[in-house]
Amino acid sequence: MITCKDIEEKLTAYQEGVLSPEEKGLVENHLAACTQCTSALAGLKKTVDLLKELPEVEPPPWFTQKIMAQVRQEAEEKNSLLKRLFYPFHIKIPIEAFATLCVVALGLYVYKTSGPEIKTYQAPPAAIVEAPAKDVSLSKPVERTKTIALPETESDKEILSQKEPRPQPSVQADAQRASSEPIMERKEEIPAATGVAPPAPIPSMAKEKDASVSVGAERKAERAEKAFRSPSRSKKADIKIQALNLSVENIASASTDIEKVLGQSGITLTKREFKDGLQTLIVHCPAQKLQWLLGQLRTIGEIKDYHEMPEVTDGDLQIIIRLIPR
Amino acid sequence: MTGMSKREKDKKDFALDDDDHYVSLCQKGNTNAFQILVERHQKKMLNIAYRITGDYEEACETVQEAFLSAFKAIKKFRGEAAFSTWLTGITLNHARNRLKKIKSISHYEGISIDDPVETETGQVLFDHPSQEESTLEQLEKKELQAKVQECIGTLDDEFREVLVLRDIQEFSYDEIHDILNIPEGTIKSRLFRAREAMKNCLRHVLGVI
Repeated sequence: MITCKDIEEKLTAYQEGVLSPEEKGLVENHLAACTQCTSALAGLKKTVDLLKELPEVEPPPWFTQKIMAQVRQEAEEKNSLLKRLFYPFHIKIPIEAFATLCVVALGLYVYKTSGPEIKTYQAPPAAIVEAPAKDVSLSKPVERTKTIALPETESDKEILSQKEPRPQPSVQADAQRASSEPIMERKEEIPAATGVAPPAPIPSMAKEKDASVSVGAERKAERAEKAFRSPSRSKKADIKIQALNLSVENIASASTDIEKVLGQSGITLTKREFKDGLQTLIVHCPAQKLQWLLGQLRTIGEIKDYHEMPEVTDGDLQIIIRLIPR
Repeated sequence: MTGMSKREKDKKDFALDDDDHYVSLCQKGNTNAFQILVERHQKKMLNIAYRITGDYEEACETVQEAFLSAFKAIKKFRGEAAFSTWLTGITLNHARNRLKKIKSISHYEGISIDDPVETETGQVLFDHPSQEESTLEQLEKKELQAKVQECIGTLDDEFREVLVLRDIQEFSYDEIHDILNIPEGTIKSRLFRAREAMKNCLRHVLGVI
């Protein structure tokens, strides 16, 4: 049994026209017979009509301008905040100058900390020993030390060669080998560089070494050479490096002879360097051909400062041949 | 009926010339495009705010706040609903907050003797009209509208919002769903109760309905 309350609850939906056809039929049948519900529906209709008849209010004439003034102020604040953060005009120059200085300082720091190390490791300890030093006196221990331990930069070499115009062959070593023992080499170089005592050259150069070379420094240099030539080092590096001095009558003709020998054997000449009228040849040689090459070199000149590496039987070698005048 | 036809015309205009273009310009930082949106929607938002708060000055303040909020949040507007729907939601939020403030202030300031009297059950009693003023014909149209507005003011917020959106602003159920984020069934039940409450209130105010 449908009561008036049930119908009244459906009157709004009926009014909105969202009832199903069945419900709509039920409501209409009830309304036809019930004056109370008909009156309720009329009241609802009147209510909705009164609401719809409410007039629209008009915005005040200044309304758009007032709203937009606030909006523009907000937009400007936003922009000025961004400008203050990223384009601070008044303090722009000091800040930018400071930032530039910071960048430059950082760049210098990076260059100083990384650059020289790379160059230091380019020369093996065997190659840096060069001590004819007939003009080196006790009064200049630091300069001499530099000559021996720090042939790092070209500018240094030039300055030193001006001061001591004696043979100063430069030596290029493999970067891979260089990076394998950085700490050890640095440790050996530091005391020498501080000028506490000049380091000793390797034994074969002993006859040329200066009288000022102390025993302690000599030991240090020997330790450096040992470490450089130690088996562990050779095992670490893929290509072993050997350095020797070849004392010849005529550097130019000796160089040609060596090239001919290399051409016959298949050993490759990887680099040739000229410095102060001297030549340094870097050759890539299979370990099996090392003895043959040494034999050939002995026919051209006198081999000096060469240390055998008996454990090297296979793999490749990089031989640094410095041609020095007799 | 003139008002109704006007509203329908406004709706048609919005449908024909949609706001998406101007909204996208605003999102790129064009404040002039926002001005066009303000000019288009300010009247509708003002009327919604006015029917919710029942005070013209408060409605103006509400709409200014709503437009400013919309401008600040315009980059977050994804276009899932119409801009007008989104803006109406913002306006309703501001109107709701402002109404709370008004109520709390009037609570501390005390009740005026002219204010409607609220009974223990929450029902509002208005001054019963005199015999001379008991018929609809005798009331001035303006007074009648003021009474209707008073009755709207007696409704709970949730009923008032649905009533204003549906019966005065003539939003569809889908639009009301987007604005208030409530299901259609809830909209219908709230509308039924809002109309019933309005009918009862008007009966009290006008004597006959």
